[in-house]
Amino acid sequence: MAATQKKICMLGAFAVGKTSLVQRFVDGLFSEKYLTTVGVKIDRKVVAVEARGDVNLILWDLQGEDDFNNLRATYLRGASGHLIVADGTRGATLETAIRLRDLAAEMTPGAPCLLVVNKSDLRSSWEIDDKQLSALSEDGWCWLTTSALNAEGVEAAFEKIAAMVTQ
Amino acid sequence: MRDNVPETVASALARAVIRSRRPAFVTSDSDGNALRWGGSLRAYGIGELSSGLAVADQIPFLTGLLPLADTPAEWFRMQTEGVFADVHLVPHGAEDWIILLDSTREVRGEASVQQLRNELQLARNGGESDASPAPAAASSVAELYSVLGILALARRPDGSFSVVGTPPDWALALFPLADGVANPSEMSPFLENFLIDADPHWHERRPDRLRSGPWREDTPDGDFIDLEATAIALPRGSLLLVERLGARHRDATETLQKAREARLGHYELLRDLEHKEVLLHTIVHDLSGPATAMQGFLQLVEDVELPPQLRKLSTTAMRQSIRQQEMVGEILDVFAAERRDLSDFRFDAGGAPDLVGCVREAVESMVPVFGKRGVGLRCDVLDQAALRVVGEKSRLDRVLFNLIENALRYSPRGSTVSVGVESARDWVTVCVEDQGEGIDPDLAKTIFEKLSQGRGDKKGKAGLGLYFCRITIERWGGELGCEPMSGGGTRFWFRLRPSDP
Ligand SMILES: Nc1nc2c(ncn2[C@@H]2O[C@H](COP(=O)(O)OP(=O)(O)O)[C@@H](O)[C@H]2O)c(=O)[nH]1
Ligand SMILES: [Mg+2]
Repeated sequence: MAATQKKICMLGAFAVGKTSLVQRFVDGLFSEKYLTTVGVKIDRKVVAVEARGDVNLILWDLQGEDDFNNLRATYLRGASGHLIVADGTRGATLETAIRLRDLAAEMTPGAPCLLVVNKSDLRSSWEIDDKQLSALSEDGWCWLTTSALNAEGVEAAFEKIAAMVTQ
Repeated sequence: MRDNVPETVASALARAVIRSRRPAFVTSDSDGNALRWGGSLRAYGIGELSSGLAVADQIPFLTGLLPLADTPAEWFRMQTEGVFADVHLVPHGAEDWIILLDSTREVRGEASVQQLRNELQLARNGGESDASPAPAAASSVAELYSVLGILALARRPDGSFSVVGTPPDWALALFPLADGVANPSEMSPFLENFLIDADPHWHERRPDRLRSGPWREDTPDGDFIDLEATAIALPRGSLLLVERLGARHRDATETLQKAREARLGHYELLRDLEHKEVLLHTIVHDLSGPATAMQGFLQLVEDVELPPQLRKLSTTAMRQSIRQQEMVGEILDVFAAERRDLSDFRFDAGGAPDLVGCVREAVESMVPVFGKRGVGLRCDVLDQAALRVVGEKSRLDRVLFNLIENALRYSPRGSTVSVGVESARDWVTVCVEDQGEGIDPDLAKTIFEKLSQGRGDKKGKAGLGLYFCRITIERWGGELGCEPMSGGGTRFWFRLRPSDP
């Protein structure tokens, strides 16, 4: 049986680790060097979801949104779900994440969003604290923490979103 | 040709036609089955025929056309086996005649005339022509795409795409483009998504170009390339161009990268600074601990009977200790102000302080100190109505205290410091004037800087008081300054915006 295809958008402020998470997940690699993504890069990986079989994730890595560049809303079209990434060491990226979730909800009603707070290897210099995170849970957010550097939580994040979009 | 042309000329003409146009024929019966055939059938890719079998089964391009029945004679032009052929269909009695004539030369001639016409038009319109790539004329445009390394796909009416000209090498390496047919939806999910926007663009024949924005594809050799797609609606066709982004795009990317790195670097620096300041803050704070303890001991000593000499020493020690604590307080003030400087000041109009009230309080609280030093303190705002300004009360109090205390420090015994408030449409101004020596105009420019050395030998405190005033006032969108007065003495002033203009 052919795997079902699901488009997932990687959303978040620049340099939060969207590209690094995809690279860690798809190729098992990590690079310290920051190479900004311009435009769109699409990668694929099949994950097995319990009781649902294989899901072919089509991962759309979109460039970070900032003063220099705006996200094109049309890129979100047809997405089954979104991984919204924030950088634990930069509190402001959580605000961007919240804004992006609203945009995603507008563009793709019903598509689930999973918040990923990345760079858990730098926990000691995080600006996002547990209180903020539990407030997000109360707000209905699904979130988990990851590190593209040491791979912690990365598989779990992609498996989680795969499960969420095949619900 | 029939009547007035001599027989010899007519047959010469016929021979010439036969030589140059390679005629061939097939006839069929009223059921469409082959009867007879002859001529250069092979030139048109037609091999062995069998009589009695359906012609259309043996010559695919005649499918659906036979028998001709009562239709009048007609012809069409087609391409087969690399040659163009004019196919004449002529019903003749019980037989249908299918006659093939080679028209390749004619088509080529037309094409080159058309191409010339297009090129002329291009030249005339400076490239902005509607030079529609009519099939025969498309060749020069197609060459252009190849030279530019652009993959050009022409949209067919049924929604499929054909490749125009020769695809560039990068495209051949990335996408299946065999047979000159392309399916953008299968080439990349990115293009699939772009087609959703391109379709209405083509359909409505919008005159502008629709760009997809850049996207990146991995190449089979492990590298990547950046591409961008453009949808163009021409008067008689729709084009999808896929272009490899070159040096300009790399430059733009690099600039963007630098800007983002700078933004990250700035952020890291700020945070680093903040960490250091927190550390320093803690240290400074700890410095005031022993001073408080020392003042406690000295207080005990003061309650004891002491010879006048010792009493004097203990009073001096007490004064020094208080001064130390003041210095620490001053440094902590600046820390607090600078720290908040990094974040945004959000003004709450409801909490706007009354400047007149603040001045009145500050003056009243300082009257005793002035009395001790034999300096007068005059204030002519005591009965003025409230003036609310953009700012925050506790810091405004510190600013006023600093300025009045600074004036006192430079006031000779017997002189007077006066404090006034003036209100204009856009500003509310506070002046603190002393009758001291008058500040050196050069110093007036730098006195509000961090760690400015102050005036004369009365350097006094940590040199941060006026700096604190500046960053606080400027943060509220105000201004401040000082200058010597014509009749002697110095005027310090600051002004703030009224909170309800
Ligand atoms: N320490 C640490 N650095 C990370 C992590 N993920 C990404 N980075 C670094 O953060 C920078 C930005 O990552 P990138 O994936 O390009 O961010 P993007 O702009 O969101 O795609 C790069 O220098 C990465 O090496 C992580 O989990 N831990
Ligand atoms: Mg990226």
